[in-house]
Amino acid sequence: MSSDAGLYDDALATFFAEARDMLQQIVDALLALENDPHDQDTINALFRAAHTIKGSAGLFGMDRVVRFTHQVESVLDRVRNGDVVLDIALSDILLKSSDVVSILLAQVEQKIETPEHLLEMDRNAAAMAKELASYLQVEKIVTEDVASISATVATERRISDGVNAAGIWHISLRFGQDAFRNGFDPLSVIHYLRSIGDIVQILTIVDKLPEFEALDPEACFLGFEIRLQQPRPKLKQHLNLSVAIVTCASCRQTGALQTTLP
Amino acid sequence: MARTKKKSSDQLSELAPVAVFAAQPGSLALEGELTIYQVAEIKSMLCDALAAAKAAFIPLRLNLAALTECDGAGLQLLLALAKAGKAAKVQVELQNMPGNIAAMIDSYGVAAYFSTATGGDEK
Repeated sequence: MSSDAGLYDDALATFFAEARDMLQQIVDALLALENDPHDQDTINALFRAAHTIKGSAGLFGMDRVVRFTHQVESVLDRVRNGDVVLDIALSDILLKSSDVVSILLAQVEQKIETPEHLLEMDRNAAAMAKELASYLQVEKIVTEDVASISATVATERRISDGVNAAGIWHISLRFGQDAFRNGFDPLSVIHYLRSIGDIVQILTIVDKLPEFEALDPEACFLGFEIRLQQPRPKLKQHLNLSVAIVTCASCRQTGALQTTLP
Repeated sequence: MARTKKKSSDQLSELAPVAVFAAQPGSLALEGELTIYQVAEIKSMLCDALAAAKAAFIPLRLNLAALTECDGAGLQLLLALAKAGKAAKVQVELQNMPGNIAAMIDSYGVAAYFSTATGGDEK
């Protein structure tokens, strides 16, 4: 195993460990809320744990985990806004949902790829998602999300090898407009890059932003030009794995980065 | 920092999940989270505030003292506001930015888009 692959595996192992931790927090919070259903701090913690699992899973391109956890998070968002009461019935559904997330994660972790196993789990997840959807206003979220995530996958992914002696990479990132809505925070890619190398320069691209009045603030228009020092080969593979919702990620040997503001 | 906060008479901040209230024209406070879950609501308030500031030829000051979290969508909204301010010739000033938010803005190389201040005792 190259040190490069090792680096990615480390990041992945950390993700699984943290996700398990978050799931335990979710279970603990749900049980605590059965005694004190209006404890806003615990409700907020519950929401954040689900949000974090979804965001991190998105970073690693785990679409099945993202889709399901998105449902859980959406219901929890309504709970924390006081639109839905967390009663015993919902608490039960959420506890079962955390089991579903746990199994979905385990399937990724253990690289279970047999179609029967995946399909069976997806059916379980879909059934659970349907129960969750009854707490949401819109019931079509589940199926639509599937389509929108795959539609935003790399339409123009151009990643070419090439690294100079100093190990400086120039990385251009552009995101699909649905990125935020699919629970993907572009900033998580930057966090990831920071974890594997040194960002020596970063330029946030804002020229795709529409006029303020016309801006849909839930649509993503951000882009980044980054110079990353990472003296290892195969950076390409890492980006490939982590850019499920990136519409354009180019990675090339660099010269000077223009730093003029648009 | 010793500061006083004013709430609008309708106590919006206690009803809304995101507390945004006008201390006076040309001045807004953002509290709590600025994430994908709040950006739609906050954007419409910022839109009104920007229009009002433009009409009155006054700067728009955002008090961020009680802002706890900001994600990519939040950062994008702040950047869009900065651009809009520049286009409308309204000075947009971010005041009392908490350390974690300032560090984030800094780490994305976008600090130059904003004018910031630490004082900003409205009144």
